[in-house]
Amino acid sequence: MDTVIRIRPEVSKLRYAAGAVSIAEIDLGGTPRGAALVLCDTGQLEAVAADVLNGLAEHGYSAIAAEADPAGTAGPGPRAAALIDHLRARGRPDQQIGVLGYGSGAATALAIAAEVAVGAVVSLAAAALPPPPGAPILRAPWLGLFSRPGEHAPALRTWLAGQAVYSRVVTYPGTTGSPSRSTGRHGGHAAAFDSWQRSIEWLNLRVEPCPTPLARSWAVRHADRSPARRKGN
Amino acid sequence: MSEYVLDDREMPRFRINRKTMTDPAVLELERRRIFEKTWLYLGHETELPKRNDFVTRSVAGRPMIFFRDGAGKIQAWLNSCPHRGAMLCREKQGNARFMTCFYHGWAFSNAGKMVSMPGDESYGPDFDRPGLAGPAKVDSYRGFVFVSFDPDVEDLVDYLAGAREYIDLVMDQSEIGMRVVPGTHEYSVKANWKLLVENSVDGYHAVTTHQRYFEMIVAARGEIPAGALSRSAGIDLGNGHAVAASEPVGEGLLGRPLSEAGKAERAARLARLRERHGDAWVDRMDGSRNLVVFPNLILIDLVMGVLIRKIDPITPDYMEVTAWELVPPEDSAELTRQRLDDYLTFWGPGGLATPDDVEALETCQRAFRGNQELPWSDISRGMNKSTPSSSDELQMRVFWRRWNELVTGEKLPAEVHEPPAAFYRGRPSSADSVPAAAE
Repeated sequence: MDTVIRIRPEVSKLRYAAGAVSIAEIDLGGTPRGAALVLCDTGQLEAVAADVLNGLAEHGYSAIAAEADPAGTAGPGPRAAALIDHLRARGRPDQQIGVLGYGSGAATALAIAAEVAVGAVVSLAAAALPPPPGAPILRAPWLGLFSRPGEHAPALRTWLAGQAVYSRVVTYPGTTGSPSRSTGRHGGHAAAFDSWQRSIEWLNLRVEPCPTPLARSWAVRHADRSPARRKGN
Repeated sequence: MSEYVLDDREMPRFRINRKTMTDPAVLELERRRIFEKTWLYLGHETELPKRNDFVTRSVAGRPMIFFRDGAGKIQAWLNSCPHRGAMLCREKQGNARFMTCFYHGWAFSNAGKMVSMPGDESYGPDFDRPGLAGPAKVDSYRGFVFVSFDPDVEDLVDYLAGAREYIDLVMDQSEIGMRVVPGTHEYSVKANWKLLVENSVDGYHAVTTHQRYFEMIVAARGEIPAGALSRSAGIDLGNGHAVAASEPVGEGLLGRPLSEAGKAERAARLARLRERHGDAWVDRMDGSRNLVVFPNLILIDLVMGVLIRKIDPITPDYMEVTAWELVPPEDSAELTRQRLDDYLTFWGPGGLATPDDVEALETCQRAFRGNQELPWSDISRGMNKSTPSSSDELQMRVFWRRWNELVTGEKLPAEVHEPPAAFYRGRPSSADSVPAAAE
């Protein structure tokens, strides 16, 4: 008997200035750990959303998933901007939002990291991404998970090395496709497990926990109180 | 009169009772009267290059988290959840804005504020949500971050006294700020912690204990310049801090010869530093120094490499040691490689110096089982001299007099010697020392 409890994501249309996009969503209600935006490859929403959104829900994240703007779009693109605005409108400030980008959504996620100071961003793709055009400042902690370094790895490494914001790149030698997909060959299952574990830890260490109503009122009452002590000078 | 230190100025003779190395009651006194009362080294700011970087380590027996918070500010927190005590962070190092206790899930920001506690409705609206606890004081000098658990401790800058000058001599060696090389050397020694403090500023043992190292140097260079070991000084820096310092010897007494390109690069950097700080200061910089910052921080600059060493007592006969290398980050990759090679050849786990020292100290500790027949150790060398050298033992006596004062309350007068040679009084031509690199 399968004892895994799965939530069926709600599917709806999000309309924005430049058009509309289908979104899949799991809203946990109450006070979640945080909010997450999942950006999928074109045509992959149905295949990816249920697994990833349920995985995020297990760790307390209310999340939405959508297909990213088409490849080649400058910056995060209007669709990604609309999706982040959608989370903001739900009362989630940027620091309480984590972003996961898969396939073509990986580049969009990196573009978001370079433009919006969200809590944390993870990109998962077959090969290392090129730095965003114009080599902008990285604004959000970014984790790149790739099956192989690829041609852009040196430029990406150089760009990241000069950034004040923390980042990491992990590759899974011998795997093919996205490290998030378990192929059962050449360490694919291990890569899928490890990349998911790293993604969740990346978010948990950086996405600001959503405050409960009690935490919010306590913070207001003690806004001027800092932890006990002290500075020598 | 102290039962631990005999300071006979008539003979003269300075002796330490070996009970100080073996008696658990002495270690307990040290914990209460030294480690709870002085400034203790936590780490260097350059170990945390990015915001939200952290390392974990122990200070005075306490597990600590050394953080650069989201605003870039240095923080030091006790690595213990205020809820039920579990360690918040079980990693050696990393990068995190938030730490969540794995026991019950309480979460804290790296600025020390509580951000989440699961099921908080079970505590009520007026429950006092605790932040992280930290030492009473945190302060830094040239990137060296110290903590003190005594809220009434004197200011760090006053505490460091004359040691500041020797920290400056190290930190001024880079035009952009000396940095700690990523990675640590951690080891333990079955010996009392004070034996390694003594050893770290002991020029007397170098040639005998490290004979093989010097043989290697002679083989690599052909010879060691005559008188290379004699132009030196042992100097009392106040507050228990002391240094064994030496004048420059060619391209340095120790280390393999640099490549021609390495020599040229080093000479060019020194020339630029001369323009910035003046000849007197750079001449001193180009010499070597073994510095003890009381009680347990060691800074050793042997020109070929710079070592930071933190010594932690665990039991009377067991210590843990952590060491790092400081480098000028503007050095080329090749010169950095040569410095690292020299560092590891001397101080590394398989080096030709540190393993010898560990062996020497462990034999001392084992031999202290004969305390009944041989209760005293002698560190009198150089008491009779007008100007002690680095192979004399003034440095150790300075440490021990301060130790004795804090542990027993007996304040022994400082030794009277002639001032060190003019060389050791050279100052920078301007007060433009480079601050430690920080984000």
